[in-house]
Amino acid sequence: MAVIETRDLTKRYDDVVALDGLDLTVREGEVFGFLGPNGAGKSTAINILLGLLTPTSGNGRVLGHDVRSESREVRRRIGILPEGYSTYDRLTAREHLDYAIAAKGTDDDPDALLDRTGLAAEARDRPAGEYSKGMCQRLALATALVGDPDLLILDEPSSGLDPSGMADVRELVREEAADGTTVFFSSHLLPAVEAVCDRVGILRGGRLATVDTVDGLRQTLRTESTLTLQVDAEPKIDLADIPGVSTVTTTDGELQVTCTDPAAKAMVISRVATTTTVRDVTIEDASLDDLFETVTASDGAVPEGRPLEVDA
Amino acid sequence: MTASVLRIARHDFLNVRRSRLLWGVVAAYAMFTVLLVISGATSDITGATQLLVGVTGVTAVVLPVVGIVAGYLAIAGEREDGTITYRLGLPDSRLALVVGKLLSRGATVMLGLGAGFAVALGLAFAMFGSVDPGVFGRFVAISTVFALTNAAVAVGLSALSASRARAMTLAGGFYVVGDVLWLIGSGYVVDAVETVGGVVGVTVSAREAALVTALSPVGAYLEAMELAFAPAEAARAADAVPWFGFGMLLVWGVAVPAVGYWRFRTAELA
Repeated sequence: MAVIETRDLTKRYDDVVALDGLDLTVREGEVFGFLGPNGAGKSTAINILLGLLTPTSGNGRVLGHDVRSESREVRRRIGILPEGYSTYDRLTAREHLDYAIAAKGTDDDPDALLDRTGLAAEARDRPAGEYSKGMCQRLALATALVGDPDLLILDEPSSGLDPSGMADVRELVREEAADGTTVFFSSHLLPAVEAVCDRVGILRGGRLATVDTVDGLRQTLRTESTLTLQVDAEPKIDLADIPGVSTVTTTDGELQVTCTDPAAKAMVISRVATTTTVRDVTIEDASLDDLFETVTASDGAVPEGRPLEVDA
Repeated sequence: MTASVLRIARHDFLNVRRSRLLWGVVAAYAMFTVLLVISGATSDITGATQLLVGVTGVTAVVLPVVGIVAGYLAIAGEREDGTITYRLGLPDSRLALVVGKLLSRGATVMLGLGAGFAVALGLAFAMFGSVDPGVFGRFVAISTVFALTNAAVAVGLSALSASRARAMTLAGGFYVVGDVLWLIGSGYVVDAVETVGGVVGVTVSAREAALVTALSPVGAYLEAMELAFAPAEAARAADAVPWFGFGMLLVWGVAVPAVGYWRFRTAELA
């Protein structure tokens, strides 16, 4: 059964189309990355699923429940880290969670949840108005985990978090996924998504431009990273046989290798290092902007003739 | 539903209790009561009941402020600062949210007023030696209903508003038109009704004029106050419509939140 299923979901404001016929299917147990630049309509889609916004047309089902007529049932079974939420300044983390636990009618232990999302024990009885953005995010994440939801919807979960916080979020997503929870992970940052997601959908201009696995997407898009090595001497070895290396060029003291597989980079460096001294290494990844450019080239058409994936 | 409403009310009340809002309301009302009693003492008022009659003209203007301040940000405030997204990410209905807010803001008003009335009672005892418990009790009850009506209207208007500024405009407009201007100019409204009646050949009686005056909350309150000071019907003026006034307070207190919920039910919250 599809955990999230939208058909022709459209949201139109006076003269702006925020969501333009979104057909989306998220399967049970997968970690689905919902990727797109700011303003692409990601939060609009999520807010419709939550019942905060009413779609202009089309429909959506979450865990089999209609998002418009059965919103409470939807919200009972999902955990949500929404975008643009705010915590109650005068209530403590524990009070927030007591409220959420009562709302979901479960018997979770607030401390156990906060341990998982990493809100320091000494902060738990202080009012949330004193929290940093990152601490609020950890509190909101703990709220999302209340009641061991079947589906976790995370809208820009890494916003306000430092790199270690982002790593915590990834770890949490992996734990939840291992536990059988379906995770819907929305972000405008490719690295945040590719590390944890099974499949990725890219939204642009309110439409789903493509859906694929992270690897498949990279291949389709020929997203390459360019590895530049400053070397003492031109290495007398062949690098082209390393899987994922597409081109190798040498210009006085500088070796440029383009890789389509991230794993190839380390192999290139270690092999070159066996024959000559590597003085410096720079890696330039194709940015997400390039990716979006590619995906949405020629008016949203999917490149390489790869069909837009639609799951039954 | 009931559990949902009570949990939201308790949660909101806890939040309000820690804000300056409640204590502002309490302090403002208590201070105002002290001022009133003192100003009453300097005039030629000699009994507590007489003092209360005099006070009614002022509570008619001040109690709505207490109610409106307690209620106008109830929902619009959450919409503006985004806490509503946290709240409605949980499985509660929007109806439970509106009803829960009505309860918590009503409790806020009652607590604030309770403190104010306690101060008033103490002062009245100190000055006059005795207070008619029946009159005082009814005065407190009707005044509380009046303040609650205004709080409910403010919560209803808050449900209609997407921002604090809009909620403030609506609540302020309601206060100015429904309270201050009505106190000053309800006579003109009655005049207008009489003029229209004259055109179509209907005479407006004094009692009917009183009904028109009692249409706004403040008019309704002043009419309902007859129940406090002249509980026996024989003691009242022939054209008094106290129960109609009391009923109008309830109508306002139910109708505006109902309209507010009706709009809030399908409002775009993101």
